[in-house]
Amino acid sequence: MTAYILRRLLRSVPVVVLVSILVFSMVEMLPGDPVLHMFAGQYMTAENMATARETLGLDQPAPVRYLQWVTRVFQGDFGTSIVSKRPVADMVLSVLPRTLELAMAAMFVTIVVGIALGVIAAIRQNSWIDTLVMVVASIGVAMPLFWSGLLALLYFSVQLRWFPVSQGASFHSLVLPAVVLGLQSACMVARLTRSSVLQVLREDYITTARAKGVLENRVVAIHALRNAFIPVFTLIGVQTSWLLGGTVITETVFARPGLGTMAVDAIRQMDFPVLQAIVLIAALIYTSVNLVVDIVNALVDPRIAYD
Amino acid sequence: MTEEISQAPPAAPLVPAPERRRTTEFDIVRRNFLRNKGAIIGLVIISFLVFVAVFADVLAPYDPIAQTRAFLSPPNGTHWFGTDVLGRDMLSRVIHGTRISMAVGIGAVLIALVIGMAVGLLGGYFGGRIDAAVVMLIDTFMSFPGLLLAMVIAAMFGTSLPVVMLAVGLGEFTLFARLVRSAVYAERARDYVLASRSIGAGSFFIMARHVVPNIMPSIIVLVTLSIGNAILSAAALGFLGLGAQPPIPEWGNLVNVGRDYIQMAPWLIWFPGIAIMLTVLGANLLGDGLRDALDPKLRR
Amino acid sequence: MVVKKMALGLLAGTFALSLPVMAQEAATPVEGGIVRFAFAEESRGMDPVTAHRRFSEAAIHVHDSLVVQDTSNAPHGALAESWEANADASQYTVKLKTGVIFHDGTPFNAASVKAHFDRLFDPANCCSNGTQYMAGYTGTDIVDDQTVVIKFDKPMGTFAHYIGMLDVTAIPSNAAWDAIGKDMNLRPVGAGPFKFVEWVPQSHVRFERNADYNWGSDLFDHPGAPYIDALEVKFIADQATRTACLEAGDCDIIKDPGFAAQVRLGSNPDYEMVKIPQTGMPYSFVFNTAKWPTDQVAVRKAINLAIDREKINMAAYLGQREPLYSTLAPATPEFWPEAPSLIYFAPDEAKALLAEAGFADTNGDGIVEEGGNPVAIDLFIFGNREGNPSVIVAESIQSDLAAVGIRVNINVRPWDDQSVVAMNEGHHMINFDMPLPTASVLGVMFNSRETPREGRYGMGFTYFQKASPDNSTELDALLDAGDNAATFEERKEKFIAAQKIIGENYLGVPISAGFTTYIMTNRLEGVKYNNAGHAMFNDAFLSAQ
Repeated sequence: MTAYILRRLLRSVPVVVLVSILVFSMVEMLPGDPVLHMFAGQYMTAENMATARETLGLDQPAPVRYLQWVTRVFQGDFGTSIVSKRPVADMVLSVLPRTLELAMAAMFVTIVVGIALGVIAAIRQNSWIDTLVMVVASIGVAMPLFWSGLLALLYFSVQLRWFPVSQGASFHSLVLPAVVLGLQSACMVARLTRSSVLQVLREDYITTARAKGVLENRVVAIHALRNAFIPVFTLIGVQTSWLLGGTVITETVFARPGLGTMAVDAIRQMDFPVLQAIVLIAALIYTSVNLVVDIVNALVDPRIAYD
Repeated sequence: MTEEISQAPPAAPLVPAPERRRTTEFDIVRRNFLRNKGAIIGLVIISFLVFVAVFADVLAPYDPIAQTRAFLSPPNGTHWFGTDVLGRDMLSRVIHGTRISMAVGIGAVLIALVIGMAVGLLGGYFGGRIDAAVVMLIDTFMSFPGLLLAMVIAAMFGTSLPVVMLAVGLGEFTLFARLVRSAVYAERARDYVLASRSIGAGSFFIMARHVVPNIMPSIIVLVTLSIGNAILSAAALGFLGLGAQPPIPEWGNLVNVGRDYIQMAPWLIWFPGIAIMLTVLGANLLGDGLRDALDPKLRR
Repeated sequence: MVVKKMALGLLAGTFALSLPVMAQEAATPVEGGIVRFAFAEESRGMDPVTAHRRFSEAAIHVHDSLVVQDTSNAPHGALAESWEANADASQYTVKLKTGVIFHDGTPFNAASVKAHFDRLFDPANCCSNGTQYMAGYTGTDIVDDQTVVIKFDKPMGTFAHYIGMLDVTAIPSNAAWDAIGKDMNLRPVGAGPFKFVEWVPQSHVRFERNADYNWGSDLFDHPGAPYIDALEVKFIADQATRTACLEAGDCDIIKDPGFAAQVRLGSNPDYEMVKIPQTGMPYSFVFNTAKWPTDQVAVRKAINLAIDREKINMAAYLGQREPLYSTLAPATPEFWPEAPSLIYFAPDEAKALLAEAGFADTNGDGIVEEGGNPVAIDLFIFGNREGNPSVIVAESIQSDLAAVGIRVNINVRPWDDQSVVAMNEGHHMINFDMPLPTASVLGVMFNSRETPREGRYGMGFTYFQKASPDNSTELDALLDAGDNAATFEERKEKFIAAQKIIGENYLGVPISAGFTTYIMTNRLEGVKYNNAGHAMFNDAFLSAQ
């Protein structure tokens, strides 16, 4: 098992390196001169621009700058925002908790609602409940997140006043965005949970358990769910990526501070140090969540480790 | 050797075809498909939308960019979906948007398919270091939240429809690459591949020619299912203002513009939103139906 | 419905119907409470030396300037007791108030002023706006502890106007600057009515009442400390959310609500709306006069006559702004009253002008050509933020120009891209919005010195000197003379002559003059505004209701 964990860890190292190169070069390729953006609307001379370029390190060739950037990132220094002139690490840290709390609350909704509905639909296969769950889930998956968010904001916050509109740091203001984001993700998870459970229910040992007279609920609860755990848990790893993307939209719609809104602003303002930091952090979050998922899966089912 | 092979009649049937018509694989697929209510609904929706997209010019009651003085009229007899802030007919805009969204969805998936197939075939066929590199590339791209990647790409190349296709396609090619790669891996050990290798015809392209038809059903399913996602991603880019340029009536963009008038004129966001939802729903249902019909493992 | 329109100075006519505002407030001020004030753009620093001009308005609560100007441009001494220029306006003698103390406890005096102006011109604080508005500054002499002489190497009549500008004459604590340097942007220390407490990025800045404050300007009803305990400035980029914040009771006052919200809340008795007319050059475009086909006056005039500004006003702005037919907004002090006679809506005349100039639709595609080249205009708009109706304006223009045979390609770019686009000279028409309080804004846009070039950012997007060097030289001279004039009369005369050249050559496309708009709960009283349309809370209080 230790060997597997080590191997799995080692496998993510080149990925992280490649991610960092990609992040750096993509942002590098953004059109426009960052120095011009820095001073847009203000007075500047050629000397001023040269100084600014030097301060930003833009006079160095790209590979050198990449190495400098990586070195600094390892020391927790993501540079200074071109626009706000604040340290990027501070900016990111100040909003990271807001994005994580949104993503985690949404994940909670996903797991509770998605798995419950999926299991119910599976054990009541072909009943009206199953049909209803699948119809709702299919529609839910097809709804654009920005649209369902806008409608929820319009009807539940603005008109009915059930939830606050301005996005303070309160729990109350977290509910609506988390539910909107979580429910859509739950619809995806419900469909997959249903088919996983159905597949497991059809396998031999369940049939045996049934034949031995084990109570139906026990069959589902103990045998089927335990074995359906791995695909569903793996799905949570995949879903992390979707949720991180989804926070961008959710935060924008609900005007909530977070990594997503910060990324959208950074793109609009060509604030490349901020953009680099956010994309890198998002990729690292995804990579680590999936690392954990793989390791937990291997612990639950040691066969995985020998594949 | 190679010459002899190329001179051999291609795929000459060894056994003469039986006179009586047998139940073919296609018949089974068709029967399975037609038995699936969801699949039928999906097919109907998609056929309808394709029809709308093709005949948008005829179907749209007005010019989608013609401006009138009827600013923000609610839905009524002359403007079924109401008008927007410049007095343009929303129904006509949504109808023309169908064409844009369909084109972007299909274009993006084709880009994803081409890149994914190339990458997957390379890795699966050559194995070893090349395969390791391919796996690493796939892992890397998968670790970016799709939307964030698409946003950066859209910002990188400027906002236009082809860029949106590329941005969305690059976010989805990993699915195809993984599918193709594992299919090739499985095929590699098969007799005919070994045979074609042993006779010196083991070129990459022969491999591709053998493998691709075999995984065609899976690809068709994945393409259909991905179109829904691609349309959603493209609409999200439009909503963030990183999509098509005005006055193109892209659905996501329509919602974005309508957002400022959400309390005064909610129809500006209701109709384009419903259009997106319907399209994605149709593509997903069709994809699910095709998967259930084509993939024997999932047949029930 | 309570809608106040603030009158601006020397203008007659257009806004003469404005209500007499200030006299209305009779209620007794209530002490205590927090005012929550939301606007769109997060501050980009709050120090007058290094903050970004456009995005630093939160700084006004922490910093007092030498002078503050009211909505009619009348100056009121703030940190300055009095000020006066010498005969050619090249030296300004400023007497300072006594007993002013910065938030860090250090006294405000002549040395603070000198240190500040010198710091503006320190190359290490590259590119502060002060340098732009105080060109020709040679130094500050300390006469005594409360008197300074600010000196220029040429006549600087404009300084009398810029003396009230926050990013020019707001004076930060010198001791604090020496201690924390550019961090002053993040933790400002000034002598204003409020002290800085905290800045939560992407969320808000919090200020608390400066209890020691007793040097308020006579623009305010009382010189003492603010009545409210604290002021929270919230950054809410999304217009709809800003409005919803007000309606949900989470905000007390919001700036720049969406036009839809103005229509809706303007008629709701629970809210009060204040509209301050913009000055300078509000929402407009200028032509690149060095590029075919906008190098031809006929084309530029035709474009101006083809655009239906009333429609734009009704559609994009829901009737909440005013169509603009002159380069300068009518509320600008140096406005030329004849200017609007040059621009009007006459699409048929526009077509005739094009035909006369040799443009004809030879291939029947609806677009006119000259020598086989179709007339296609690249139009650039900026700021694809939510709630910015630029796209709608552009689409409206596109449709109007299509009607006279001109094709328009709309390019939407991020706000900060303006300089990049202009530098590449890829534009025919480029959008900008410079609602500054004086006609000096013309110099920023039309003086050939301001033309962007390698290593030199500028806002002169017309490239007028390339197409018409003679006119351009004359215009430059008038703009400089206006800026350097010692008296207002002379200044106005020069700027009127400049407006004439600009107008008759159709260098720009004015579109719409707006208002700086606030909507607040009717519990909030006593908010005052300066000539830049910034809200000030010295007299503000929340009445009990």
